[in-house]
Amino acid sequence: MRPLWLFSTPSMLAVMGCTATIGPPVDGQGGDVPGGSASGGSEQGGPGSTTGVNPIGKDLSTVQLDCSKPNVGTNPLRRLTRSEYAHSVRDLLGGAVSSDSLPPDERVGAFPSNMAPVAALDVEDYLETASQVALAATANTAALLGGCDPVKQGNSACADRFIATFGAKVQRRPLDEAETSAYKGLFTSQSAVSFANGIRVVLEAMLSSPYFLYHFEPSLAGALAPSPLDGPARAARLSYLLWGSTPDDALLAAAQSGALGNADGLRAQATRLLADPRARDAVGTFHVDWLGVDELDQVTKDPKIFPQYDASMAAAMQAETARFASYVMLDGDHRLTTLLTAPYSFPTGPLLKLYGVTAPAGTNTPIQLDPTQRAGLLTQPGFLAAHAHANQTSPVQRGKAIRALLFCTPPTPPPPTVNAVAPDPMPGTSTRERFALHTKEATCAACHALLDPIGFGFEHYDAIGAFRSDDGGKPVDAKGNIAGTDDADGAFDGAVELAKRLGQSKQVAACVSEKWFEFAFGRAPAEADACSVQATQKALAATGGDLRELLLALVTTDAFLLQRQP
Amino acid sequence: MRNAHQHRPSRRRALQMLGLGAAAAPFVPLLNASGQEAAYPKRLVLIYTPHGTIYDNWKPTGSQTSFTLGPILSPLTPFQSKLNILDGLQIIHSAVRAPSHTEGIGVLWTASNLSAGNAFNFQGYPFDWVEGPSVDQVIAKSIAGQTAYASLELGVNSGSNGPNNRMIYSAARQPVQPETSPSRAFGRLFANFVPPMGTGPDPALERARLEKKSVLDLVSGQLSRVKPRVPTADQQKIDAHLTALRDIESRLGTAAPSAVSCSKPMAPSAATDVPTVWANQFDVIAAALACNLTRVATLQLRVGDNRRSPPHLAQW
Repeated sequence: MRPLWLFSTPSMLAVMGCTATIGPPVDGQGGDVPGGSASGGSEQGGPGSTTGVNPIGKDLSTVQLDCSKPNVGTNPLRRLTRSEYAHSVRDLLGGAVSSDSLPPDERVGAFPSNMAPVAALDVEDYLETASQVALAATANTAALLGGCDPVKQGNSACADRFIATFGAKVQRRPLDEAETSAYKGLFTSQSAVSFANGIRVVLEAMLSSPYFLYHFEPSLAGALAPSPLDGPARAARLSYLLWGSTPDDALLAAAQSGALGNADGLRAQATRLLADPRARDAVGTFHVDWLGVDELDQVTKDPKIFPQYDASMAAAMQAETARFASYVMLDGDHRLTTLLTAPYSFPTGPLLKLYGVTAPAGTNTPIQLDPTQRAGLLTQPGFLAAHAHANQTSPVQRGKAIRALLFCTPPTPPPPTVNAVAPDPMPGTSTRERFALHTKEATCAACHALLDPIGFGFEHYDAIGAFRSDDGGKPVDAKGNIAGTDDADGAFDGAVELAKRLGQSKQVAACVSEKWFEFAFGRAPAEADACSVQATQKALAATGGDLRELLLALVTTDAFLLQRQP
Repeated sequence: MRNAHQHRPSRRRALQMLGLGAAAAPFVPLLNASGQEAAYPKRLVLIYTPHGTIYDNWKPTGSQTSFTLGPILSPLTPFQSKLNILDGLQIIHSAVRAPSHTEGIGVLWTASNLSAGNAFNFQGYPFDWVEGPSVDQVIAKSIAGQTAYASLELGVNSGSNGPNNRMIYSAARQPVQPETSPSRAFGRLFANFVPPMGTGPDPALERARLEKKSVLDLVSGQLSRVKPRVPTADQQKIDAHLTALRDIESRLGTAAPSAVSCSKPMAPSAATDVPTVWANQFDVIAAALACNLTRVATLQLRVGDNRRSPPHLAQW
């Protein structure tokens, strides 16, 4: 599955390691970035280094690449995701937004990323949501005016101040003259009713603005060489990666001061952001989306077999995975191995019974689980229920998830003529027996040999993730086998053993780096990003799998600092 | 959200002002309410259910000209003399990269192939939008201006926005997302609706209209200033946003429908269970057609590559 030719191509065996090149401090005045020449070692107008390596599904941590010139793939213009929008409104105004009042997200790979053009309906959703948010937020305008008193200082002065200060927060960059005067004109025309009405309509327009709705990163038309992003664009990348939300005042100030123009400044801000409670949103969202646990929103189970499964249990599963991941990454030892093997978690509500445990007294204390039954993310009900059928487990889907999400080597889809409907459970047969056809028929076996034997390792967990010792009246056989990987092949018995194997695999670590890249940029890495992906993989390898170090490395890669036109 | 300020009606308030908002019951079967059948213009309604159907329950029995409808189509029996039922059609398209079930929905109404681009990654396979408009949008465009809405796109559980879940395209690579909430669809359609025998525009509604227009104008100005500052490849996204704003703005001016066959429809219930939402979306389409707010509607029932039967329709 995995092309090994990469490692034996002679032309790769040259030159130096990859280091991120940081441009000079870029101005934060809301203007355009300097031309391509500002970018470190890049030649004027010339392309960046071409490594010739497609980084998808590869561990590049020990590969020699030519990273002598900065390079970056193209980032298509994206709109905020539902979650980014809701978090941004929360942090700007304190209000809540129901995510289904916004257009549904596109899903690019594992993560939402909205790259398609909008249609009228989408824009109506944005307008209507902006209108409702602005209406609620201006019930009391005093909170928005930063201490300006319209009675003492005048309506116009307070409106000017609101437009400049709050506008820069909503739009994540200072307003230029054209934008400022457009908002002031709107205020003037709409404040005839009342001062508050003028502020409300201006706020509605700000929230309907392309500067708010899009991840707008100004670029010079026709600049084909990699060029540095300006300060505000870097600030927004930092906050949406690490908080899933809009920058705060301190981050916007750092963008203004030029502090995001060098690696130390970026690491300092990233470290500050990771210490903030908002980082839990981003880390939780990453893991829930990565493992497909977010799809439990749409998953139903057979009520005759799983009467206890309902929307609140699904929500508890998502919350558990998010909480556990943010605990390990932000409070714990930050290790990938721990994420994949820890014998504790944070079940709440209906999950306590599913696990057979009781709630602890402390709030930030993990609940210890039976280490022979549970090990990390992959033995949590969220992952197990998301990759199972309504009425039974699915060794195929669970095996496929491990290959696609942990090894970054998704299997070939079944041919269209295949009946992909799983055999119904029958009394007296185990799941393993019912799926045996896959390995008997030669046409199926080639691919399913890579899937089902991994999935059988999860047979101790039913379709909602409860531990079981009996399947169809027979003792569970959870023996499995991994084949076709770089460094994880071989037989194993049960998911706990599988999880330990995955936790030690370099291929898995490399894959997790790739997933964080996807999460950060809303796209898969391109050839031009090979050095950036490599930098994060190296950081992870060099620190024994410290995921915080991966993130700190990611924010100083070329992919993070630069942009390039297609 | 609270309506703390009453200067400006929200859409829901606007409906209440018209006496339309509070009802929770399914609204009246409008198509039956009028006897003016001959006056109706031609309409197009496309409905999609994924992964086919239970064929034996769907297939009519008998000959091509004399047949009995199966259980699934039997509600259409009163209109049987006007039905043409097609069977055995096949969609042939090239460039199979992702699983073919996944690509089918995009090809269905567009008769176009999927782009060879790589905007999406479907379980590891490159994947992209369709390279042509869908037939409903072509027709809608050719009769645009005759109704407030050129077309109406609705869905139920129609999933995330991706080539595997989208069937309607306004142009190549420009998918149109369906509205999945009957309440929001209804609110949007009837926000500015004035019944034919009504007392004329409400001053509060008129003020709201002017306010909305000023917001739209400001955002359009911003988009025009943003356009040269994004890469050429992204400028079509800015253009699409501008087009959408113009479309919305043009509707702000059309307060009253031209048809007289429409009485005051009642808002659909806010229930979120699938059978009710499903039925309500059909009712929204019926109301929009009866009130001549559009002549082209589409309804997508579930995601493109759906593997679950609708919970209330086990025989499908």
